[in-house]
Amino acid sequence: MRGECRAFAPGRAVLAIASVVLMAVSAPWVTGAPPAQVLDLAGRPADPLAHVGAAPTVLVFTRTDCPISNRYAPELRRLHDRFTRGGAAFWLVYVDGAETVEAIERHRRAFGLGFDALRDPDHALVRLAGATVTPEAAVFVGGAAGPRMVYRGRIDDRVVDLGRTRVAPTQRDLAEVLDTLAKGGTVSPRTTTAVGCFIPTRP
Amino acid sequence: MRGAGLGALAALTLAACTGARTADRASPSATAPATEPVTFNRHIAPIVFQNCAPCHRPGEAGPFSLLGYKDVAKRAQLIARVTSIRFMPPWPPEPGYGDLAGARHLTDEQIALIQRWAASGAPEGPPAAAPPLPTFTAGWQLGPPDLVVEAPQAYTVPAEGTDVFRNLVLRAPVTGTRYVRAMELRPGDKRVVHHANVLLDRSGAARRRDAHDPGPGFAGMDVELESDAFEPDSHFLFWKPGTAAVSEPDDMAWTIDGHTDLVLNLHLQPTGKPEVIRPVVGLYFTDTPPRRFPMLLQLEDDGAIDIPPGASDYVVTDHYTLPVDVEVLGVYPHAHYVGKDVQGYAVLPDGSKTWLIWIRDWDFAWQAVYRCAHPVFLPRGSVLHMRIAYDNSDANVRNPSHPPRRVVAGNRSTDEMGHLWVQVLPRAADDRWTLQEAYMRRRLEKYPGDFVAHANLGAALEARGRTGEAIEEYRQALRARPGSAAAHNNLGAALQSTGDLDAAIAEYAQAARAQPDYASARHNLGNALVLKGAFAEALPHLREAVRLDPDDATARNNLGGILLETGRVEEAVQELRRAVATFPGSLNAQYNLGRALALRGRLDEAAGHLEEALRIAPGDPDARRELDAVRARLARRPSPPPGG
Repeated sequence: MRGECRAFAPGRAVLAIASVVLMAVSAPWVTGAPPAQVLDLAGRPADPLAHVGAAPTVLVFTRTDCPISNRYAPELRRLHDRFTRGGAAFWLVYVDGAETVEAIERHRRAFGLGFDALRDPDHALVRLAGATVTPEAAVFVGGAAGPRMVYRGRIDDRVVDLGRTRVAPTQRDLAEVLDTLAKGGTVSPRTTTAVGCFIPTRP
Repeated sequence: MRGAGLGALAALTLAACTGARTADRASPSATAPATEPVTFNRHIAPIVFQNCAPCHRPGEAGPFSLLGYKDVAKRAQLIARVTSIRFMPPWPPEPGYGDLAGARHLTDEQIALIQRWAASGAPEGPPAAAPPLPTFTAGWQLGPPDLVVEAPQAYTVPAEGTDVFRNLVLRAPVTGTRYVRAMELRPGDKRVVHHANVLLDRSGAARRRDAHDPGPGFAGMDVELESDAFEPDSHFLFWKPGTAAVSEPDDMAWTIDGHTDLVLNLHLQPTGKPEVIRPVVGLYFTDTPPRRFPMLLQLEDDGAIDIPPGASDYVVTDHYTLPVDVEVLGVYPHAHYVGKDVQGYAVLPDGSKTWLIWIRDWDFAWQAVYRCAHPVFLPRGSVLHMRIAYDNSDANVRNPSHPPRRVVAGNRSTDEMGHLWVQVLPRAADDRWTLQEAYMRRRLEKYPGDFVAHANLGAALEARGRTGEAIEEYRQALRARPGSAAAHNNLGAALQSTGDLDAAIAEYAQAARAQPDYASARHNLGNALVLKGAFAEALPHLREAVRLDPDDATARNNLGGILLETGRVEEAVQELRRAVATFPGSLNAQYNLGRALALRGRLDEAAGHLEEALRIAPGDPDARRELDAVRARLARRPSPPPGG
């Protein structure tokens, strides 16, 4: 199983981004704890970062019962449709291990989120990216030493705080990052603070 | 005679928060010594079950349930955050500034406990300390309603975009007047419907707007309906998540009839997917007519709202001096997205200040009707005050315009409003007209020449017997709005009461021309022409009156009477039968029907209706004479052959 999780192994590649990611990613692998499992909806181990190349891979952390995540469904569909045309990969990452595959399927159908989805019950991807809330996005691009995270944070600035929301966003962070990459530009790694439903810390 | 008053002000019912019924475990949760571990079972569950679970349970508005340890523990950090910033439980009023019912406000100690619990890893604690799960009433909170009315069509809320404001028009299938002691609204998906006001429309205005707007209902953030009847029973009819209908005191019911539309003014929030809602209203009736009549006073100065872009503390105020003693029963503050700070209070004649409400961080999304925990007595001479501050700067994240733009009063979400509705209960029913007169005179101070103020002032003066002054006010109203059918109609009624039938007929005719489907104007015009003896002229108006309002027994009786006078006896019988069926207590309809049946030779039936007329008005000479004649004819009628 460990062999299939290739993207997770080169923690050094992530070191260049931010120390929080280094610390997060190093824990499960260095301590010799059982390998964290990322599963597709058929229950098979999956690795969304196995084939990150020049086109970015986007992880969007979510859960079925977070109203803030849910309100972003139409915007996520738009981003997905716009950037997958240029080769980007989009993954929904369901972070609550208690959510069943059936519940996730129902959620995807209800909100029209037809793109690829994963379950991250052990928070391997959550830790890798350093995500703290849903919805939160992480953008990876391929590099010589493996996948490299160039953005983690909010989709846009619509939600200012819990209970404090703009009528429309003034800053579309995720779209801007993906737009720059789609045009062949480079993005300096950066993070923003996402506001949403906290992802419970796992021991 | 019908037609008096222009009650342009909307009726809205008080809903109180429905706290869960939990065992009295509040005391152990209130504090915990710093050395004692804070656990779910001992400290947190009582707080959550009482304050969160009413909405956070299956089928309710909360996006997830908070009914057990696992549900709550996995969201400990979220709960700690939303309680620390007082976003949850949602209770915007400032404690200590008004004594409001159903306050769902955590104490500082409760919030501190939650923080300690979350920071210590959200331990469960000993099961023995756990309170029982809260129990909630399933289905209709007040039991099965006497009448259930469903929206005629479902409405689909789009998946995204700005909030949606939709007004659905429902007609309750009732006959005659019914007294409503309570109303319960099931809005559909409670995660979609953020709040709802229910307005009573007896004018058909909302129905007409519905017809002109594609899709179910009609759009609009705020609804102002022009009515030709002063609303005698002004109640707040309001719903928000976590609340249930409150039953009014038995002598404070409100009324509906077969012509009353319930207008559901819905604030809908897109959830990320299309949502279909079809609200249902449950009505609970009483046989007790209302004897106490609350009134809704609206403090506002929308004319003063002209907020420059960037202004971060733009203040609008209004005041109203109470001309009589009242009790305040509730308040409903209303502003849109750049509202910042909302205050409502009264200054008593002795100079003391009584707070009604203060919301320091106004959030349109959490607006609500607030019922006073106890009626607040305000003596005559007290001054009600509203003060609303607006923040139209870029720093206000709720500002719908980016960059900010000039904001004026209006019905769109990018416009503003600033209202404080105050529900007051005067001591005597007649005091309402005194309140209304003062209210409209205050409005004229703010808006000289205002149509609504002059028209309503006319109605108030007329109700107080000051017909001459009322006529002048109606004329002023018509100067402001020459085409107003309602003002012409009311002016006609006032003129008729002075005996000037010709002038009244001219006004009714103008009303009917201005609005051909205005049943009240047709009724008044037809009946006035009957009084004048102009039967042929009256006929088409009365036919139209009963077409528009099939339950209008007076117009139908007059219509039958004209048909009888002009020899169309069989038609007359048909109309008079319907008049009697609608209003069996009508002396004139019973008498006319008796006469008409006698002319058709149906003597037994005729005698029955004439006897009924005499039961209604013993000694009525006309009915007595006709009955005697019918009985004489019956006596002369040959007996049927034996066995025949």
